[in-house]
Amino acid sequence: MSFSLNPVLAREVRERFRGRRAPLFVTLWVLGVGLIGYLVYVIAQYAAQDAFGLGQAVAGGYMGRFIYEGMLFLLMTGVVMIVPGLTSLSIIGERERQTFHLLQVTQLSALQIVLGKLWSSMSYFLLLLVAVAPVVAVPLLFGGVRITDLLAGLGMVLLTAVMLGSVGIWASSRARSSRGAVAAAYTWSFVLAFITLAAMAGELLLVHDGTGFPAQGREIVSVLPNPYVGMVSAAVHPLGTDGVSGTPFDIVEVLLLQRQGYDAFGFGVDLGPDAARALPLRRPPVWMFTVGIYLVIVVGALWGATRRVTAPASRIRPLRRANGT
Amino acid sequence: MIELRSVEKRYGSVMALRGLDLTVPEGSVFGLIGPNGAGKTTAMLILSSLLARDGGSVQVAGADPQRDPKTVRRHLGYMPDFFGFYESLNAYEYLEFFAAVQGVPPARRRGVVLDLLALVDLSHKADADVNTLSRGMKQRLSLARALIHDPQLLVLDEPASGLDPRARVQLRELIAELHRMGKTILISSHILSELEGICTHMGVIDEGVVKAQGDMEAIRGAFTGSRRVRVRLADGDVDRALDLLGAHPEVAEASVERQRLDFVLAGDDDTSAGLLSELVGAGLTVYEWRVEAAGLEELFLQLTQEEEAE
Repeated sequence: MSFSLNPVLAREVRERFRGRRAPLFVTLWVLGVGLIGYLVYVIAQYAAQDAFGLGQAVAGGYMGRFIYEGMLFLLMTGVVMIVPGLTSLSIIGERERQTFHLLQVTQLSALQIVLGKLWSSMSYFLLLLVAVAPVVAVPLLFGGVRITDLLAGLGMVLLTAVMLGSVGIWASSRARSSRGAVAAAYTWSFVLAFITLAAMAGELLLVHDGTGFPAQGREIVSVLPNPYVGMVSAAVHPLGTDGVSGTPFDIVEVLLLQRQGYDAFGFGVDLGPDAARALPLRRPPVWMFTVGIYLVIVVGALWGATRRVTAPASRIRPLRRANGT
Repeated sequence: MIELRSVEKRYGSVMALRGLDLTVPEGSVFGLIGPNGAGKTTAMLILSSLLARDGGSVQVAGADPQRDPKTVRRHLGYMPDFFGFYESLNAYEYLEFFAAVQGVPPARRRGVVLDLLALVDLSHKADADVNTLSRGMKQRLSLARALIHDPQLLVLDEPASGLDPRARVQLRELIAELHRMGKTILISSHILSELEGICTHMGVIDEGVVKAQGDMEAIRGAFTGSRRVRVRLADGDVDRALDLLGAHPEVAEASVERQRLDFVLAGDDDTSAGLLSELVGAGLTVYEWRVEAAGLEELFLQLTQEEEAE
C-alpha cells in the first residue's frame, strides 16, 4: 500500500475538513498570523528608524530580516502550541470511539496506522503553513533574507512539527484517557520549548566565569534540543556566523556566538546576507545537534507508538472513564 | 476452521481461560454460550489476533493468530460487542473506509459496498450519518463491515445484545443467509434464546473452560437422559400417577399443577414408552404425554448445575 494512499490518512483528512471547525480555525489562524505579521512590520519600521533613520537603503534589508525572524518565531510558537493538540487524540480517540480493535484486525500494519495518523496531522499543519505563506514570504520583498534562509527556517519549523507530532502520537498510544494524552503531549512540547530555556539559564550560571557572559566556547547542552535555538541556528547563518544585527533573534545569536567562542560582537554591524560567514565556525552549529536529536526522538516515538498499536497485545488496556472510575 | 487447544489466559491473578478447547467446523454456525465473565470475549479476542494467549495453541483458517495475524485477519471478519463508528462519516463512507483498509482494490470498492448495503438492507441509508442510525441498523452495518473483505469466517461477539425483538429477528435472518452463503460463523451470547434455532453447533463455556461442545443433535443427544416430560391426566389420576412414577429412579423433579404432571426423565425413548405403558396399564387416563427435547437453556442450566454440584 503506497504511502500517499494510506486509508487512515484519507479518512482523517476527510473527517478533519468536514464541518465548520476546520475552516473557522484556519480563518482565525490566517487572521492572527496576518495581524501579528503587521505588528512585527510596524515594530520593524520603528526599529529601522532608530537604527538608520528614514531613507537609508540598508533599512529595507534590516526590516526584511526583522520581519523574517519575527514570523519564524511566530510559526515555531504555533507549532509548539498547535501540533500536540492535533496529534495527542489520534490513538486514544480511536480507543474512545471503540474503533481501535476494528482497525487492528484489518490488513493495515501498526506502522501504517501510526503513520496515517502522523501524516494526517502534518497535512493539516501544512495547510496552516500554506495558508500563511504569503505573509511569511513578505520579508523576501524587503530583501536582507535569502530564499535559502527562509527554507532553512521553515525546514526547522517542519521538523519540529514532525517531532512534536510523533511525540503526540506516542503519548496518545500510551494514554488511558484523552485528557491524559493531551496533558502528556503538551508537557513534552513545553519541556522541549521552554523548560530547556530555563535549564539553559541555569547552565549559563554554572559555566559563568565571573568575567563575561558565559565562559567562552563552552557547550551549553540544554539548548541543543530547544526548537527556537535550533531554528535560529539554522535560519540565520546555517554554516557560518557574524555579529548580531539588532533583530529579534539577537538574544539567541549572542548565545550562539558565545558558544563558538566569540564575544567581540556589535549591534548593527553588518546586515548583508553575504556577510554571514565573516566569522568561521569553531564547533558544529547547534542546528546539526537539534536535527540529530529530533530524528532520534521521531524514530523512538513512532517505534513506541507502533509497539502500542501492534496486536496481538498481551493485554487489553482499559480506558479511564471521564468520571475517574 | 477454528481449533483452540488448552488455551490459557490470565489477567493478573484472575484466570480468564483455563485450558480452553474448542473446535469450530467449517461451514457451521457455532454458538458459544456462557454467562457473563465466562471467557467468551477473551476467547474471541485471542482467535481474532487481538489478544495474546498465555498458553495452548490456536489455529484459525490454518494459521496461528499470534504468529501469523495477517493471514488470520484475511480470513476473519470480527464484530465486537460494541459499535465503533467515526463521526461525520455516512454509512457508505464508513464501509468504503474499511474496504480500503482491508485491501479491497479501488475499482471494486463501490460495488462491494453497495452489495453489502443491500445485503444488510441499508441501501436506503447509504447517505445517512452513522450516528443517526438505529441500534439495529448500526448492528447490521457492523456486520457489513465485518464482511467487507469477504472473509470465510465471521466472529460475532454478542451481536444481538441490546436489540429490540424485530432487530433480533432481522439479525437472525441475516446470519441464516450468511450460513447459506457458506460462511463459518462463531457467535457468542449469554442470552440462550438468541442462539437456539440458528446454530448448527454449540459450545458451552463457563469459568474459562468449555463444558460441552458439538453439533446440536449430539449435544441434545448427550442430554437425552434429562428430557422433560409433560403429562396431562384425567381428574383424580394425578396423585396415583405421581406415586407410580415416583417409584422409578429415572424420574426426578416431579411437580403437579391441576391435571398436569411434569418431571425430568433420565432415560431414552424406550424408558419413556415403558413408563407410559405402565400408567395406561394401571388404568390411568392419559390425555397427553409429551417428551420435550432439552432446550439450550436447560442444557446450559444442567451443565452449570453439574459444576455447582461438584
